[in-house]
Amino acid sequence: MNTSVTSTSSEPMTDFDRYAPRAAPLDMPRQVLEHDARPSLFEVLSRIFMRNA
Amino acid sequence: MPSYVRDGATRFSRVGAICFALLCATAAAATLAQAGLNTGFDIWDGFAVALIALTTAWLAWGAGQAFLGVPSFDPLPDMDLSNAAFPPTAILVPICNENPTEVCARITAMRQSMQAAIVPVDFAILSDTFDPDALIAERAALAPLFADDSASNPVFYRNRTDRHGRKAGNVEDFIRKSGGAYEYVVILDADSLMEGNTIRHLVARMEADTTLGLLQTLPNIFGAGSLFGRAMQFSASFHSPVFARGLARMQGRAGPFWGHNAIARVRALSQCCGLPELSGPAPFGGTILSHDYVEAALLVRGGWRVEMDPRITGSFEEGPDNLLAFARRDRRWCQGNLQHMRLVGAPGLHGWSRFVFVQGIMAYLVSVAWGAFLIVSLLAAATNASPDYFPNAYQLFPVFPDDKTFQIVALAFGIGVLLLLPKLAIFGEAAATGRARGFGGALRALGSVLAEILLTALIAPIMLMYQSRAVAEVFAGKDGGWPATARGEGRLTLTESWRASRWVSLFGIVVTIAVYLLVPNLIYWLLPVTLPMSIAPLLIAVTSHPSNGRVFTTPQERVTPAVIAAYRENLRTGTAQQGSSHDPIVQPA
Repeated sequence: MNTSVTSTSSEPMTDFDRYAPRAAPLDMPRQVLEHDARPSLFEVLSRIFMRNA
Repeated sequence: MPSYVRDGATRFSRVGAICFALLCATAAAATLAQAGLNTGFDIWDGFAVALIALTTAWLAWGAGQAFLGVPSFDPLPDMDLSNAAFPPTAILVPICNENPTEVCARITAMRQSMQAAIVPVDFAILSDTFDPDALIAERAALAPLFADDSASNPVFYRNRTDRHGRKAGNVEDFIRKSGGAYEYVVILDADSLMEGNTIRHLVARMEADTTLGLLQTLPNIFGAGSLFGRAMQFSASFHSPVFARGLARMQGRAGPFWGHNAIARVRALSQCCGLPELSGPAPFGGTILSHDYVEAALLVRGGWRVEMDPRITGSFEEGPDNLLAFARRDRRWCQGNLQHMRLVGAPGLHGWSRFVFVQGIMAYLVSVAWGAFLIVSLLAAATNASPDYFPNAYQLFPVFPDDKTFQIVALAFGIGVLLLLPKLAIFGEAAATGRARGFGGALRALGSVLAEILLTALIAPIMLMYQSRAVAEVFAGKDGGWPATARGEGRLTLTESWRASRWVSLFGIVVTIAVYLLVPNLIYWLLPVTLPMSIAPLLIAVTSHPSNGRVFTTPQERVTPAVIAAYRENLRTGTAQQGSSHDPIVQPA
C-alpha cells in the first residue's frame, strides 16, 4: 500500500498511513463461477478402461 | 418488503412482459414473411424475418418494461432510525485518477449533509490512482478532509499499489481488510452524491429486513451542461423512474446492482462477492468488468435479496456530456456484458439472474442485428428479380406481382409505435400524476419529450455504428481496458468530432451512394439512418455545445437539491482552492 505523499524531489511530505481505514479483517471466499473443464472423450475412456489395467 | 417484490406480482410481470415481446416479434415476423411471399421468398427474406423477430422482441421488451412501470408504487414508507441504534456504516468512494478537487468538494458536501441530518457514518476514499502526478495532486487536494479531527464523520483514505480487480477489487480489498468494522457499506462512484437523510433511510431499510443483501437506488443525473448531456439528464429524470418501476416489478427480489449509489450488507458481500478472475485472456477472460451484475447474481445465489427502489430520492450522479464520452463508456459496458456469456451457465445461479445476463448481452447484439437487418433488406431488394408479367407460355392477360407496400408500411408503423408509445405513455403518467410540474409543466415537458425523441432518433444510427464496432472488437479479441470516465469533458470541436467519427460518416456516405445506385427506390426509406451517419461529426460537435434553454428542464435544475448546491459552493469557494486540479486521464474513443 502506498501511503506517503512525495514532492517532486521525492521527499516524503505526509504519511497517509494514519488515514487508512481501521483494520478489521473479514474473510471473503472466492466464488466459483466456472464449471470444471469437461474431460475429453479420451480421458473418459481412459478412466473407464485403464482403471484396472 | 415492498408489495412490488412479492413473488406473485413478480411472476405476473415477467410472464406479461415476455408474452408481449413474443407476440410483437411474431406479428413483425409474420408481416415481413407475408411481404416476402408476395414477391417470392428467398434466402435473404428468411434472414430478414429472423432478424426482425429478434429486434422487435427486444424493442417490445423495453416497451413492456415501460408499460409495467406506468402504475405508481405505494408511497415510500417513513422509516426512522435513532442514532443510538445506528449500526456502523461506511460510505465507500472508489477513485482512480479522478479530478481530486471535485472529489474533495463532493465528499465535503456529503459530509455536510450527514452532519445536518446527524447521520453517524464514516467515509472511506479507496484510491486506485496510479499516475504519480495525479497521486500527489490527489493527496494535496484531499488533505483538508483529514485536518478536521473533531468531525463526526471521519474520512479515511488509502491508495492501492496493486490494482487487482479494478473497482470491484478495490471495494473487495476494503471488505477484506476493514469490513469487520462495519455492518453496511454504501458504495458510490467518484461522481456520486447522496443526501444524509437518504443514507439514514437506506440503513433503516436494511435494519428492518435482515434478508435484504443490497438495496439499489435510482440515481438522478445532475450537472449536465451540453445539449447531449441535458437530453440524457432529462431522459434519466423523466423516463427512468417509470422504466425503473417496470424493472423493479420484473426483477422482484432478484433485483439489479448498478455498481454505485447502493447500500450493501457487509456480511452478504463478504460471503458471496469475492469475484474470481475468469480463465483465459481478456476480453472474455481475466477481470470481470461488469462486476455489479455478477455481484447481484451471486448475492441472490447466496440466498440474499437484492432490491431496487426508484422511490428513494436524494441520490445523484453525473453523466457523459457528449456522445464520444458516452460511446467510450458504452465500449466498456459492451465488453463487460459480452463477457457475461461466460457466466450464463455459472453453477447455482437463479434462472432470472441468467436471464438478466442474456438481457445484457442482447442489449449489444441487437445493435448488430439492426445493422444486419438493414444490409439483408438491401440485399433482398437488390437481388429481387424483375417481375414476370407473363409467367405462362400461353397467356392473354399479364399477371401483376402483389404489392408489398402495405406490409412494409404496417411493419414500419408497428416499430414506430413500439419506439414512441412508451415515451408517450410516460408523458401521460407524468401529466396525470402532476410529476410533469417539476419539468416546467405538461406543455414544456411534452416539448422536451418530443425534442428528446428527435435527438435520440438522430444519434441512434451513430450509436448503432459504435456499438457494432464495439461488439466486433470484443469478438475479435481486442481488450478495451478500463479508461477513466471523462467527467466534464464537455464541448468538442468539429475537428475532434471528425477525428473520432469520420469512419461513421464515410460509411454513411458510401451506403447512401450504393443504395442510390443499386436500389434507388429505397433511398428515402434509408435516409433516417444514413443521413445522421453521414453528418455524424457535425451532430456530435453540435450536441456537445452548451445548452441552457427551457427545453430539457429537470426538477434538479429548477430547485437545486441541498447536497448539489453544497457541492457547487464547495467547488466555487473553499475546497476547490485548497487543492490543485488534475484532469482525469482519458483515452480517445
